[in-house]
Amino acid sequence: MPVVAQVDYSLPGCPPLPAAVSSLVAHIQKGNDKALSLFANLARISKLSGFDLIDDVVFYGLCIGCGACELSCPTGAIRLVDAKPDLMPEKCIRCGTCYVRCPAGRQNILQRRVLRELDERLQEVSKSYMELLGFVSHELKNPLASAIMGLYTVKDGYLGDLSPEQRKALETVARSLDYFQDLVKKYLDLSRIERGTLQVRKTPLVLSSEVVAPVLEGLRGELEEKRMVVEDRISPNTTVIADRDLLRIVYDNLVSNAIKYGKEGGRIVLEAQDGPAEAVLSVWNEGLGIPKDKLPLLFRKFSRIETPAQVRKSGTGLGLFICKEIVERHGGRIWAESEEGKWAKFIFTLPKEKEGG
Amino acid sequence: MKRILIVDDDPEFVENTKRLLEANFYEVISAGSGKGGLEKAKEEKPDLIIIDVMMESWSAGLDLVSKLQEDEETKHIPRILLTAVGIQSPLEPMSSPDALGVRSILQKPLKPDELLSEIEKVLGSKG
Repeated sequence: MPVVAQVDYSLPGCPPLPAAVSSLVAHIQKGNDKALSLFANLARISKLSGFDLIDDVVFYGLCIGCGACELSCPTGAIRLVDAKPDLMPEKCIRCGTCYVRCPAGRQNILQRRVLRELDERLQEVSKSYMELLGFVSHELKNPLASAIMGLYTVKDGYLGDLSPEQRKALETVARSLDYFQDLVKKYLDLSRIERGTLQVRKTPLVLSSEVVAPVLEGLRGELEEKRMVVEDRISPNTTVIADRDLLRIVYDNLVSNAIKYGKEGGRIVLEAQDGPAEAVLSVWNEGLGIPKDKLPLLFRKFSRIETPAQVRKSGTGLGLFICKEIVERHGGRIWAESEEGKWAKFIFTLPKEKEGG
Repeated sequence: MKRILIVDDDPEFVENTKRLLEANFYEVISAGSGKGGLEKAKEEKPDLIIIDVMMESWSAGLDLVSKLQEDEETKHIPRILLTAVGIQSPLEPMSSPDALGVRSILQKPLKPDELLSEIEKVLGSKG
């Protein structure tokens, strides 16, 4: 639920927008692109902190069309609390009688139109940014492929034995390259998701053989390195309705996290409960767990929870955001549970397809 | 000694892969384009061809595969496809190796172990 700041509107007029925002809006209206991008940043930051600047600009009741209209309320101070964009009223939700009045005869419909146009422009800016991000990430893959092939050929001893010191030096380079590869992969996924070009092609899948097994196969090296054991409790018959490639991305992210943040030599447990309305899938790992107050923050973009023991773990802060987007596009939910110091569990649901849906 | 043809337009990738394969006792020849790849395949009759999808065009690798399939001289040579294109690429609707006419599809970047084990699988032996 978005938190909307409490605003006191006093007679005879509404308070102006906070000075910075109103001056920004004025500049945007004059076609200043710098102001637009600053506004875009503000909007993004405000979204991260839980409220939506664009809605709030409407909320302030100032007509940015003519800049002169006022909000007046016969009952005196109005407090609009927890207003949703849909409720963003010409009528005050508190007293139900006040209106936005505009001396120029324009109503706040106008504000909404202007803001919608602004929003569309912002989305376009964001879309082309995401396209660029996707393109750049893709272009990074080829040099990366060559670097990884070359480095690992030497590091893994294919060209002869290495001294322990030489191996150690190359291992640090390998870790950086692996991180780089992970970053490129996630930015590509992110750019597809945010560009809106990601299509969910749902088909019936045998969860174990078509999704989980190939993911575990791909992570075998990492599992061995941390001597972790995967306890796969998923029945070989369990089927789900999902996009195969996208569901693999979800499992890849969740199991990778379980390895990265799990206890060395610990267990990872995979489960799937098949219900009448939905399948409930989970990835559990032994490890440090996640503090309770941090659980809801995990799925935000660029979110990285750093407890002292985890400070040195490298992560992009994108994996769980990508999981959330994919799961939600399947009509499911995802959340985390944890007992600090003991375990963490990530759970998500996939709804059963309705007849004819 | 088994002979492998690598067709890839990234000279660094070719050089690094070649070094790896030679260290594993394969003989390696290479080409930097789909067109060059077809010529080399006919000339050299390698035991295996490793083909990158995106070269002079986004589908140059796929075009090469179909030309190799059509040609009596080369159609029996097993092929492995490499691609740096991830999910939901234009490849995706037909992304099974069978449908593409190759033995397997490997994602770039990849590590030496993955490539070597795939090559052994296809050739049925070590170099």
